[in-house]
Order: sequence, then structure tokens, then C-alpha cells
Amino acid sequence: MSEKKIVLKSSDGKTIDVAKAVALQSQTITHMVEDSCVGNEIPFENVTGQVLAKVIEYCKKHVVVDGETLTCKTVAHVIHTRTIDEIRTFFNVENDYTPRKKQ
Amino acid sequence: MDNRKGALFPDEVILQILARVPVKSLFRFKSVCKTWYRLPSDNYFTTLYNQVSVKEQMLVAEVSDSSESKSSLICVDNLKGVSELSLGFLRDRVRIRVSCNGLLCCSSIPEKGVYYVCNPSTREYRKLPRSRERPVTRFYPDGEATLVSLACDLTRKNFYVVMAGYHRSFGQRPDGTFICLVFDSETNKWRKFVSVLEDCSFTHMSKNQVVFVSGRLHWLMSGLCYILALDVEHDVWRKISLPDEIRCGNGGNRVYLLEADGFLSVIQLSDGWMKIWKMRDYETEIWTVVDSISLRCIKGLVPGIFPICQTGEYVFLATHKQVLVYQRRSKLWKEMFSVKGSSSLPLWFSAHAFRSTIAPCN
Repeated sequence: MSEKKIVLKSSDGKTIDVAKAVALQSQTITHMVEDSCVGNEIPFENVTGQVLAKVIEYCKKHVVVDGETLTCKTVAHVIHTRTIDEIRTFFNVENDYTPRKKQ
Repeated sequence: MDNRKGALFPDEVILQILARVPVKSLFRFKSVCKTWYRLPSDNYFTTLYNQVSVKEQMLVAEVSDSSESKSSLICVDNLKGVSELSLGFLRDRVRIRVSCNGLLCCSSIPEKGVYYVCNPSTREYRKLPRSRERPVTRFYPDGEATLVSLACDLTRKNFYVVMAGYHRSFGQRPDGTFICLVFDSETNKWRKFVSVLEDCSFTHMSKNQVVFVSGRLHWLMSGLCYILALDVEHDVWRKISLPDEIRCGNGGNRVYLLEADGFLSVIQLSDGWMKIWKMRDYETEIWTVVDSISLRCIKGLVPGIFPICQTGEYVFLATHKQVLVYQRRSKLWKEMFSVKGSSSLPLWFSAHAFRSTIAPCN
């Protein structure tokens, strides 16, 4: 691909334009770009716009040392202050606790 | 995953992500779902978490104000900066004696002889039983152990506390008898063994900077020829030679023993340079130079600066009032913390290497 910008699309329909060099710092994004058949636009079905923006912000500030672990480290950094509901949405995890009975 | 489909265990990817989340957040995430509730006590996950945390190092130090009415603990992290570390959960006034793989061994200030081993990240702690040493067999010269150390084994999930020092029977001359008291977390008991070690003396820094690698505790001995090593499980002392260059006295006598990513490392400071050696293969005892760092940028600080901890990417150092970090890739120095106002105790005096792990101590 010769274009310099990549468009990331979040689960809630938001799009973010990112310089290719920045986006490719994430190995996940790199793989999706390589495998993708949808041109420049990369869909993230599990990630909201807010979270995606944070990940890109982080990518811009940090140099890739070790692609795979940086991705995990990046995500860990982004999610560690999230609320429980946001975590459930992000990882698509079901709340399997039984609700407390009303007194 | 998937809890989405009622599967029993999360994806490896999610585990890798959660292995990089601070312990505090991990505990908060217990309410996400039942599987995540079990993670901090799951053997596979805690092993993974602890393996990841070995790559990081933080610096913990006591900050006291000039009136000494209050002191607090700070924790300096390369990425996250400075935060306060609280040991209030111990419900006692304590002094940190030694740090190892996420556990701290602290002594009670009001109650002499009382020790705690705690994990500040999980807030677990254990008050150690007293070692029951009778006054007549106590340490020489003042009843205090010369060496206080902690060996926390992340794989076996146990720890040892070792207190060692010379012994002198009442009224007699010291005879080179070295007493070693070892607390075993699995038995919850102390045991004692005696050796003869001649002429071992240690500086304040070398007592603080005990390094636990390859199943052994290590201290730098005064005189700068050897590292004293204790195999805690087998009660065997050994001496390991320092790099030849240091033993020959080249480059001065400011040498410090640190850990480097799970290996033994020594750092030598001279007027202009900081040289780092690492022992990559414990069996062969061969030292290799890892880095030689110019101290030009911090020239004025060099006489009063001490290296405290390091990883492959950075080195933390402390002076009387500052904590500095040197980033090895970018070759940049950065001040991470500075004491406001005057302080009675230098930061380097109470500074310890620290990492956040899920090591159990209870």
C-alpha cells in the first residue's frame, strides 16, 4: 500500500485517521493491514472510538521495542483505569455474577 | 475467549494483557466476571504475571522531613513517575530492611526484634515469629544481625528471611563464627546454622543491596575482591570473584552489587564513567561488560550518587536528595524525584530496588 494514512474504524462507528507509520507500530494493526481486503479502512469490532483514540495516542508517544509485547503493554496501559463495564465491553466479557437479591 | 460462550479460561492474549496491568487494577477487575475473580490466585496466571514483572524495576525510598516528625515512602517508576507507597496495612511503624521480588522485609520501630514480610501490591503480610535467640548466643557486637536479607522465590512461591552475623560468646573474643538464622515460609519456623567465615565486613550499601538470583543470596564484601553467596536451601556459603578489572583496583573503589534482569551485576563508578558488568552464566562465573556510561552530564553529582536498581533499558540512581534515571537507549539522564526542603536522611541510605509482583507471603 502506498497511501500514507490508514483509517481505523471503531465498533461505534467513529473513524480515526492515522499516519501509516504510527499505526504500524502496533503489530495487531500491521497484521490486519496485511491481511485486510478492505483497502485503507480497518474495522475494530470490539473496540470503542474512545479506547481506539487512546491506543493511537499511546502509539504516537512510544517507540516500538518488541512489537508483540508492546501491543499487550499498550492495551494494559489503556485499560487499567477503565471502569468494570468498559472492561466488559472492551473484551466482550459477560457478567456471570448473579445479581444481589433485593432486600 | 471466552466467557462469551461460557468457556472456562480466557485467551492467552487477554492473559498477556492482564499480566501487564498494575496489581491494584487486577484486583479491581475481579468483579468483571467469575473467571477474572480467580486470576490473582490462579497458579498459571500469577506465574505469568511475575515473569513479566521481572523485566521492570522501581525504586522505593524513605523520605523524611528535617524535623523527622514524619516520614513517608515513595515508589519511583520509570514510566509512571513517583507515587506514595503505603505500608499502613501493617498497622505498625516500620523500617524497610530489604526488598526481593515484590516482597519487603520490615522491622518494627517500636518493638525491637519484630519483623514483617509483606507484599505492598497485594497488601498481604506475615508477622514473623520471634527467632528466640538467647542473649548469650546473640549477634556480635550489639545483638543486631549484620546481614538481613530476603529470598523470595517466585517459581516455588515461598520465601526465606536470613539474618546473619558474627557471634561471640559472652566474655570471649570473636572467633570468626558466623551465625545464620533462616526463616522458612513453608514451615513458618526459624532454623540456625553456624559457619566459620573470616574477615567478612560490609558497608551500609552492601548490606542493603543483597541480590537474590540462581537460588542464592549475594552480598558485596568490603575489600572488593569477592561477592559472598549463600545457598539458602543447603546452608552453604561461597565466594564469587569480582571482575578482574575491579579486583586490580582499576577505576576506583566505588562498586555496587545490583540485579540485572535476573542476573548478578556490578556497577563501578569512577570520576567520569559508570561501568556495568553482568554475569550471564552463573555456572562459569564469567563477567561481561554490558555498558560503559559517561557521567559527564551529571559530573557535579557523581561523588554523592549511588546506583540502586536497573533493567536492560534504564538505571535508577539516588543522591542525598534526588532520584535520577539513565535511559540506556537514548543515553538520557532524567530527574525523577527531588526532595523539597531539607531532609535528615539521604535518599540513597534507604533506597531499595522494588518490583510489583503477586508473590504470596501469607
